[in-house]
Amino acid sequence: MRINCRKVHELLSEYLDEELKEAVLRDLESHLDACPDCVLQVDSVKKVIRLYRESTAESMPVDIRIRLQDVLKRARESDR
Amino acid sequence: MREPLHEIEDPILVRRAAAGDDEAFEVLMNRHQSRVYHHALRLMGNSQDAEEVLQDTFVQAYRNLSKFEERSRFSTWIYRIATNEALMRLRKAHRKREVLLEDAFGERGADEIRSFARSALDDVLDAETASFLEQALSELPDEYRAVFAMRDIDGLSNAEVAEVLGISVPAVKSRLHRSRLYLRNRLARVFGERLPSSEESRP
Repeated sequence: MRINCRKVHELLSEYLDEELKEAVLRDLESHLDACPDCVLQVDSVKKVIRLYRESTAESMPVDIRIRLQDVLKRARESDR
Repeated sequence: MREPLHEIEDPILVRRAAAGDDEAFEVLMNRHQSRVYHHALRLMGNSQDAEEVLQDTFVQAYRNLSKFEERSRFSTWIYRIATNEALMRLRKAHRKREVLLEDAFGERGADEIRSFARSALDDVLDAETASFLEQALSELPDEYRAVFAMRDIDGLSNAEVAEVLGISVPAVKSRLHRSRLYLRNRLARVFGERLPSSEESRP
């Protein structure tokens, strides 16, 4: 496949997710070797994903945890 | 000796909970509640609505455990309940989320993307950045936001997201791609203009 900049734009997500077929991947990577603009496209989307992953809090506030337990307890009691 | 409940895997806990073991259900809930809450928070955009979605999700899960099909994972099932609940509430609120998802970015955009890609933004993830990330995410149409959040933040697979939303894998991939590009363009526009590049700022 002939890969131009527009095609890289289209295939960018599949490239990042490692879903491209071997032959397409090879063509895309040889385009990237010669095209710094497309490398930036790839890097900028990678950065978006990394930023969102890193900004995510893991824990849940304790008061919300306690209220959830109460709600479930009430649901159990009303079902009995 | 009985194995401690928190060491037991989901499928066995689900079976026990469905048979009436409330303690087993509590372990499942403790294990998954935080991810469900953050997922709901990203979809709803505020903690009050997210908490309601969280509560409804686990009450529904508790009441419908007998309908859980063991071919899917409990985590996927719980995401499906939470996502449906959130999307239903958003639809009820008649929230209009018709933004134009831009794929193209003009000449001016290219410079911004360049400095965004090279910026040291992720080295210094401050409150202002986090709040803008949240803002940009909230601008996506609900179904796109759900895909991006599950796929890129929570790490579900395309097949799992497709199962949660009841759409095809190609539809998931298409929404994911457009969401990523939209967010990239938004972030580049805001951060690309004012951030020092990590290459330039390093000696």
